Amino acid sequence: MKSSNLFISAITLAALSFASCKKDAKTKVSAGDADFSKYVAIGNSLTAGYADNALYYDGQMVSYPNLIAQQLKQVGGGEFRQPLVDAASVGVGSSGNARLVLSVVNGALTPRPVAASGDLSIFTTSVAAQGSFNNMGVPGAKVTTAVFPGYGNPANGLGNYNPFFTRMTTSPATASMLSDAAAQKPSFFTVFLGNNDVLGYASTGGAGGTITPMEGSAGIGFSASYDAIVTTLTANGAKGALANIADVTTAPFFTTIPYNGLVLTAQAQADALNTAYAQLITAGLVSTFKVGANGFIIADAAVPSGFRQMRAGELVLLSTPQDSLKTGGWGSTKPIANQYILTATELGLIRTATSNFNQKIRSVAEVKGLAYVDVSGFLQEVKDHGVEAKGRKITTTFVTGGAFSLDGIHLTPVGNVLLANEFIKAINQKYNAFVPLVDPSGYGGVKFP
Amino acid sequence: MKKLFTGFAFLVPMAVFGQGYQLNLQGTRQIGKGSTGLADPTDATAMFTNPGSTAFLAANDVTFGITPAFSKGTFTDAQTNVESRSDNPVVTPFNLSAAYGAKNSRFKYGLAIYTPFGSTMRWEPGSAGRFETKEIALLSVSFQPTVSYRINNKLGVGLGLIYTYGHVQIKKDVPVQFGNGDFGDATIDCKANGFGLNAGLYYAVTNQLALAFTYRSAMNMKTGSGTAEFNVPASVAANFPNQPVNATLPLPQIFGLGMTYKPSKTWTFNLEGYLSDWSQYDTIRINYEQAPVAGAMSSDLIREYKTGFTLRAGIEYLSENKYELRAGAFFSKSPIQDGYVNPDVPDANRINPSIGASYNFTNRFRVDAAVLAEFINRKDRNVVSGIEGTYNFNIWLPSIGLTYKF
Repeated sequence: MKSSNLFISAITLAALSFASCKKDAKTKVSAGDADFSKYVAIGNSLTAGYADNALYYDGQMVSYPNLIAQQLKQVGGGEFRQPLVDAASVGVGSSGNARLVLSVVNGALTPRPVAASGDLSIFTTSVAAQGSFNNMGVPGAKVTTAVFPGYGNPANGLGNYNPFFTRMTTSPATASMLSDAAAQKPSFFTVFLGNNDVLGYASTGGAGGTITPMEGSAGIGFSASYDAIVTTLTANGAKGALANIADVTTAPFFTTIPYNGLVLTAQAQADALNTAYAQLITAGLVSTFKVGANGFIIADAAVPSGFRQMRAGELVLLSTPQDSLKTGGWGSTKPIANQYILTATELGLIRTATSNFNQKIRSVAEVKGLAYVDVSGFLQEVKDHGVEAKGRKITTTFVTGGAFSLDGIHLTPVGNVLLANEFIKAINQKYNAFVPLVDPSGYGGVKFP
Repeated sequence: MKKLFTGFAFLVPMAVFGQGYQLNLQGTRQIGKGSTGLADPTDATAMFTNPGSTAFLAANDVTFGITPAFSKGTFTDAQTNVESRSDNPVVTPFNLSAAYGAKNSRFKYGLAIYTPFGSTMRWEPGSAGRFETKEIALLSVSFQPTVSYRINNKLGVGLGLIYTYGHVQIKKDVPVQFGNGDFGDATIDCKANGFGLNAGLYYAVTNQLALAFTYRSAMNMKTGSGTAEFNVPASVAANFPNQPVNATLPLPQIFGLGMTYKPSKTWTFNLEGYLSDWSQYDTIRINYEQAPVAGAMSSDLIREYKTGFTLRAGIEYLSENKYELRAGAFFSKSPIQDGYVNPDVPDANRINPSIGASYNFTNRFRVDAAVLAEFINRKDRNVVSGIEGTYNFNIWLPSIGLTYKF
C-alpha cells in the first residue's frame, strides 16, 4: 500500500507543475524613445481619410492617422481629434460630388455617386470650434500649399483657397496648415505630403496642374517648402515620421484601362481603320490594325498630325468616359483627348519629379533623425505581388484588389490599415518602440451591392 | 480572393489528435498510462493498439469507453497583440470493442469501432484567422474487423481491416463585403471514406518482458458528395457558385515499436515509440467540380507536413485488492513544420501527462477512468498567410470505460 501512496503523491506533484506553466503571449508595449502624448498628422486627402472620391465620415474614421492614434493610446498617446463630417452625410469631393458607391449598371459593377450632388454644406459649415485638430490632412494640399498663409481664405477667390481647410481652421485668412499644426505643439508628428505635387498634373493627363519644381522659396519650390514644414514641426524637439510618395502606376486610376484596349472583332473593322489611318501607318505613328487588341488612337500635340497610336507603357486614366470608349468611337475613329492620357514624355516628367521628391524626403529624414516610411516601396509590393493581410491577399487591382477605393487613388479601410502599419513599423524601428500593429481582420475593401 | 480555401483543413485531426489517430483514445486504460499498451494487452481494445497481442488475452470481453475532449485556447497575434479566443464545443470520441476466441483456440476474432479523429474548433467572431478558418467540425468513425493468431506461447500476429467514414464541416469568412459591411462566408460540407490496414506482431520474450511492433497503413480519405456554399453579395455571386467539391486527404502510415516489463505481479512498465509518416500530406487540392470560384477551379492548401514521432512511457500498479492505478506521459514531435502552423490545427511539440485508475467490481466487470491533459504552446509565422503569433491551448480529456469479460 505504501508504494501506491507514493505513486499518488508523485502524480499530484507532476500535475501541479504542469498546470502552473501558463504563459502570457502578449509582447510588452513600449513607446521607446518617442513621446506620443500629442500626435499631429499633416498631409493631404490620403491623410484626411478621403475615399471613394469624397470626404465622408466612414472614410475619416479609418484614416491612417486615426488608426495609428488608436494604437498609440496603448503607449501614452492622447486624444486624436479629426474635423469629422456628419455621419449621415453623402460627403463631398473636390468637384462638389458625392461619394462613390458600387452599383450594378446594365449588368456591370460600376462606381456611381451615391447622390446627384455632394453635401456642399460641408464646405460652408466651419467645424473649427471643435478643434484644434490632430488630423491636419487637407484634401488637395501640396507641399507648397501646406506652408501658404490664408490657404483657407475665400477672399482669395475660387481656385485660390481650399474649402476643406476653410472649414477646419480658426483663422482662414491668416493660418496655414503648418501654422495650425505647429500651434498644437505636437510631441510627435507625421508628414505625408508630395502626392499632389505630381498628381494634379498626372490625374489630368498633364493637361491641368503643374508639377511642383524642386527649386524656389518656401511656397514655390518643393525643397524649401518641405524644409520649412519639418523645421517648424521639430522646433520643439518633437519626433516624427516622414513618408515618401508612390509611383503613380501603383494606383488603379492610372492602370485599370489598358493602352491597347481597342479590341477589334472583325477584319472589316481593321481594314476600315487601316484605310483611314493609311498615312499615319506609313509615317510609323500607327501600327497596322488587326483583329484583337490594338493601341488606342490618342491626341498628342507633339506630333505634326496631332494624334497617334498609344504605345505600351503609356496610360489611359480612369476618368476617361467609359461609354465614349465603348460606343462613341473614342480611341479608334476619334482620338482620346490629352487630359485622359499620360504619354511616355509626361510619365517621364512625373517619375523624375517623384524620384527627386523622395530623395529630398529621405535626406530630410536622415538629417533630422526621423523615421522614414517607404510608402513607395510598400505600394509597389502591393502592386507587384500583393500583400497578405491575415489570410487574404490585398492587391492594387481596381474594385476587387482591396487596397484602393472606388476613385482608384485613395485607399479603402483595409488599405489604410496596411498603410498605418507601414508607419508604425517605421516608427517602431526608428524609436526602439513596440507599438502593436492594427489588426486588419475587421476592415474591408470595397463594398459590393 | 484566390486562395479562398487555404483554411480548408479537410479531415485534419485537431491539436488533440495532432499525431494522427494514434493517440489511442481507443482505450481508457491505455489513456491512463501515457497511451501505451502496444506490448501490454488488457482487453479487446488491443485490437486497435496491437492486433498481434489480442490472441494473448486471457478472456473474451466487450469494452466500451468514451473520452470527451474539453478544449479552450487563444491565439495571440505577435504583430497586433490582439488575442483571439477559441471556445470549442465538447467532442466525445468513443470506442466499442469485442473480441472472441473459443477456449484453447489460438485465434481471436473481433470488431473494434472507434473514432480515430474528430474535433470541433470554433474561433470567436472576427478573430484574426477568420479568412483562414472560422469553424471546423469533424466527426469520424472506424470499423475494424480483426483476426489475431497465437503462433505459439511467445509469438502472436494479427491483422485488422479498417474502414473509416468521416464528415467535416468548415466555415470561414470570405473577404468580400456586403453593403452593410458584413463579410461574406463560405461553408464546406463533405463526407469521405477510406480503407486501411492495422497489422501487429507480439513477442513475449520472457514472462517479464514483451516486445511488439505495429503498422497502420496510410489511408486515402476520398470525398464523395461534398458541397461548397457561399454567402456573398448578389453582384458577385456569379464568381462564387455553390457547387459540389471533391478532395483526397492522405492520412499517414504509422510504425510503432514497444516493450512491456513486468518485474512483479503488481508493477508494469511500458515504453514505446511511434513514427507517423505524413510525407504525402504536402499540398491538399480541393477541386471545384463545376465552375471556378473567384477565378480558380481548385484551391491548394500548403501544409508540407513531415514525419512526426511520439515517445510514450507508462507505469501501472495492480493492487492485490480490486483496484489498479496508472500514470504516464508522452512526448510528441509535431509533423507540422515551422512556418506552416494554421489556426485550424495549431499543433506543437508537447508533453502530455495522464493518470488513470480501475476498479474490478467482479472478476468479469471492471470500470476504468483516466484523465489526459494536453498543453499546447506554439509560436509561428505562417509562410503562406503571414499570420504570426502564439497559439495556446489547454485540452482536458477525461475518459471512462467499462469492460465485461465472458
